[in-house]
Amino acid sequence: MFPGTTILDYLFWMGMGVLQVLVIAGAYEWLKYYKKKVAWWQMAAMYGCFLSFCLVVAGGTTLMGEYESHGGYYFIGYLGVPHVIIMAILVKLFVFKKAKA
Amino acid sequence: MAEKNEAMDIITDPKNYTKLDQEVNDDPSVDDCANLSRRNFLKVGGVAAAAATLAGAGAAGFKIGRSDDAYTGYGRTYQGGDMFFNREPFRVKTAAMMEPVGKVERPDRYDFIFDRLKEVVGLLQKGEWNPGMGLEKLPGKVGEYYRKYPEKYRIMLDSLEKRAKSREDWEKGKHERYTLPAAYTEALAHGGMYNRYGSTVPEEPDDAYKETGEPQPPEKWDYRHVKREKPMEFKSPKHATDLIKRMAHLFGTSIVGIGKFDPRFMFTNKMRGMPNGGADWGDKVPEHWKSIIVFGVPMYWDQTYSAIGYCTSYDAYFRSRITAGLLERFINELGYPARAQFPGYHYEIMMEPYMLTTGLGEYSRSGMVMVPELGCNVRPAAVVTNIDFEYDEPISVKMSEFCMKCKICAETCPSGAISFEDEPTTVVRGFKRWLLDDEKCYSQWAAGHTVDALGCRVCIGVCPYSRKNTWIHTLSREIEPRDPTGLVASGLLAMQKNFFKYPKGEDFQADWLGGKEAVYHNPPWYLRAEEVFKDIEKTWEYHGMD
Ligand code: SF4
Ligand code: SF4
Repeated sequence: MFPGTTILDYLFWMGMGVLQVLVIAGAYEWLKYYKKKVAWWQMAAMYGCFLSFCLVVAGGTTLMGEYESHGGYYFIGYLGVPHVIIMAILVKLFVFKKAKA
Repeated sequence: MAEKNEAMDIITDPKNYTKLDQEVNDDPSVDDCANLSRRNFLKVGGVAAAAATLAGAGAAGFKIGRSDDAYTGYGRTYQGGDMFFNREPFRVKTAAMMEPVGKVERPDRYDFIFDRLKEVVGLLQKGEWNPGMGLEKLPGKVGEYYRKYPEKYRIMLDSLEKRAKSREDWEKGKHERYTLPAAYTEALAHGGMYNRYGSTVPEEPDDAYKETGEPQPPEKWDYRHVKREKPMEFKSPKHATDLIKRMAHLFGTSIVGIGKFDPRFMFTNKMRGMPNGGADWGDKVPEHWKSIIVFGVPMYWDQTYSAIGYCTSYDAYFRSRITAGLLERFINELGYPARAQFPGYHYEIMMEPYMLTTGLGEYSRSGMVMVPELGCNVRPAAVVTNIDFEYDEPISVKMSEFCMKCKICAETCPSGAISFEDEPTTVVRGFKRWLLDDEKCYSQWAAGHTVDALGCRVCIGVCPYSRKNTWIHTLSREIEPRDPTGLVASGLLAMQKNFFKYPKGEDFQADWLGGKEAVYHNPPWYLRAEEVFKDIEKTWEYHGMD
């Protein structure tokens, strides 16, 4: 990741790992705040979608890094928009679901 | 109809608000104040972490794409890690397009365009023939060849003219724009590869013949550094294979495979070290040519992507020759005969079929072998010996199948040398092939804006398999051959064709042929003369991707 360094590279990826703990803990805190109950597999599906979106962004920027900016923008545009839509659907289905009568 | 529960409605509806002071303290041991700040930290921190993850992914992706570590074939060469694709699940008895469909004929030296050209240029220089005398008077076997293919003769004459025009252009000022790629090419070619006779690395039997006047048949030449009475005996063919492959990587190659020597792919009438390069050699095969070690390295990616003008093959030629020379000597030291086969044209064999039979790659539309790690960007060399090895088998990674649909190289080729046929139909010496029109391809080389007016390589740069070793391309490489439905290949091809931009074939042509001297990717800064030298006025545009 950081060219020519043997330390920063690993620190960066460790930092990315730590951030994931915060993302999940933060999500639980928000759910608690709104008193929403979400099953573990629903959380896993939403987190999976988020990670997949991150991969799409990383894929697009990898292409940009390779001097394929055109391909990179299209990659994020074409694959990223479906991710946002799917994420919105998942949040609607799992978080803001209608309370059982 | 069920009432719509929009996310924003819920968030903004005051009914849904929970007052902070009504929050349930789920851990009575923690006081409210600390609990609140912990919660707020997690809530705000969680959102910030998600944003940071997204930004981090983007930044990491960009850095990975830009990094030199992604230049396949360079990073882990000495450990052999550049040959990262696991071929074992894809081994087959016969590679795609390697099943004979007719009588298999050996190639003759005049099937090799550079031997034809060398002969024609020699006749011109000696004044024994000139185009004014016509095709009928073109003497020798080269005359026979061109009388069989008069269209090729016409293109060859056109190429000679183009080459003269290109050289004139160069002398009139083109060299200024191409100062740096020219210096790079010349350093590798004449500082590294060729001496006055033709070769410095490795030793070359033709040089020895020219210097001493003594023929150097393979029975003599291939044993020249053998000092042992008896060769070292390997514990098993597997031990020999493992050792030689390890040494090949250590000596600098990226990929290596070992196979049985197959005389079907050896030129007739060609033997270096003999009078006239062995023009009268006939079809003899030296008895000790039993096994062949085939290996290769890529050309540097920046230049490959900025073909035509900023690209050189000498870069990879030089490195594959070094491996060939070192390996040849190493094998001799163990007491076995060894003969290097290496670029530019120091071969008695055609390299491509051996790359296929040793499982390094598959045949492609553009007529080159594509390997999973490097695509078409691979410059092979080989060493022939009599060691008994455990031989590699061919592979089928569906690259040839991909070519049936792809056609990007054919669409981008400036000379129209690459076939558009959906499937290969031409029978070449007994095998069905997409046939690269070598004469047309050379006509583009001859008009090229490189220092020696030789070379193009656009087809290598634009091929979807010739991509860097970044995770995104490596994932594609790994998943695509394992998908039995072919959907992944179709999806990747659709992306390649719709997301990426390529200059048109004609844009790559020299300006005097109506082109723009376009490049696929713009050259890196270190090949742009105007960036490093004083007094270079930039009178041109770069027509490639940035
Ligand atoms: S560009 Fe396409 S058709 Fe040409 S060699 Fe590469 S994969 Fe095959
Ligand atoms: S080297 Fe150039 S002219 Fe020759 S086949 Fe490739 S793209 Fe066409």
